[in-house]
Amino acid sequence: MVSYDFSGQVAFVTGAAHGQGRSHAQHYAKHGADVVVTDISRNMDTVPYDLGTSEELDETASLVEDEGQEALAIEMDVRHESAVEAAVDEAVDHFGKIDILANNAGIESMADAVKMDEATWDEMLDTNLKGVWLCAKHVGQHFIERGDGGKIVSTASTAGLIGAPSNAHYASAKWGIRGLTKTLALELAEYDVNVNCVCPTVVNTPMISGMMEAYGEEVFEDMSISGPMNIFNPEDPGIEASDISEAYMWLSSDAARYVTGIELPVDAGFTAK
Amino acid sequence: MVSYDFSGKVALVTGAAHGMGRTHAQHYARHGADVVCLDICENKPSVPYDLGTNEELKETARLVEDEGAKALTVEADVSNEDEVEAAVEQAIDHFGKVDILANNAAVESLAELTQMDKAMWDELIDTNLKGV
Repeated sequence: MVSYDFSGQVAFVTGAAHGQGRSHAQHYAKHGADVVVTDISRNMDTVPYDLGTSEELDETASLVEDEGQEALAIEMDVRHESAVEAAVDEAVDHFGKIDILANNAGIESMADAVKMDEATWDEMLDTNLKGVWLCAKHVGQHFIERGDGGKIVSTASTAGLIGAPSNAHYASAKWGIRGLTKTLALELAEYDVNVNCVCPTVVNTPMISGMMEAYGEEVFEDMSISGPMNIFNPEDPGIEASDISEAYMWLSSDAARYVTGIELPVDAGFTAK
Repeated sequence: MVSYDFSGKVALVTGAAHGMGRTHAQHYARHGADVVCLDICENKPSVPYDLGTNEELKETARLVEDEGAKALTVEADVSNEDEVEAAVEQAIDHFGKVDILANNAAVESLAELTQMDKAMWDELIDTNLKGV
């Protein structure tokens, strides 16, 4: 239905082994971009479901190639600055540049704030907030050096717009992404870089099915205290990864050239209540 | 850079005689939709600049047709329910349906709160809020 022209551009996607990151990679490729697909490709201690694997990351790379574009797969943990810096350098060495950063990598776990252990908090904040900053820092440095603008899109959440019971660490990270987004938008405007974030509701991805497997089907019930999470279809709270990719494509395109510093909910009406 | 497929769809754009409404109408047409171009086509007492004119509205329709789409022009004041109802009926009679409402029509005026006269408040709220 919608088509963009990202030909000649390079997108750098984090958390690309499966779920939304894979969908974003496929969408950038479908619309003409070459794609750097990165993922931690291993599990984390406090995350109760399987994260991406090397095989899944390779599969994402072949899906990009199926769209007729070049892919570069890099295993990278967004929490470690040296890993992020090396990955950005490798991408720039390989493709000569990066035009778009898709800051998608994120994890989820649940615990009441008063019972949460420190490791659960730390892994969450290191991944979902510091990881977003580190990727923006190093791709942002590239944008400044290159002097030809750029786009940064990050995944916040509806949990970055309201409170989220049993998810204080997740909500804190996602609210943090909004502050980071607005600040980066101000700092990078003079370099013609647009910085925005998307706030999805529950999306049908391995993260969500993994959460339901780990905590039970009712895991998100507390969050729908104010009414259905999907006002179009209360029976199925989830929306699809491609619904989020469409927002990414728009925010990554020059059609949104005067859009910067925003948080765009793609939430099936969850926060309209 | 971006293309959408609105073929077979009908967009109703308010405030379409010039400005953003005109560009919305052109964009819908470029991406395949037929467009109902609606505008008040007269000035309002509390608005200190010229609103759209009948000639400008016809020019918007011509720009829609230049994109290969059909246009219908309707003069209506969005703050008047009878006129809005008649306009929507006319659009449906003509195109069979409306798929998209582009609620663009609006006015602007300036006065400090304590010195604003009621007519200025009423015209702005009736147009920019009740009209929407």
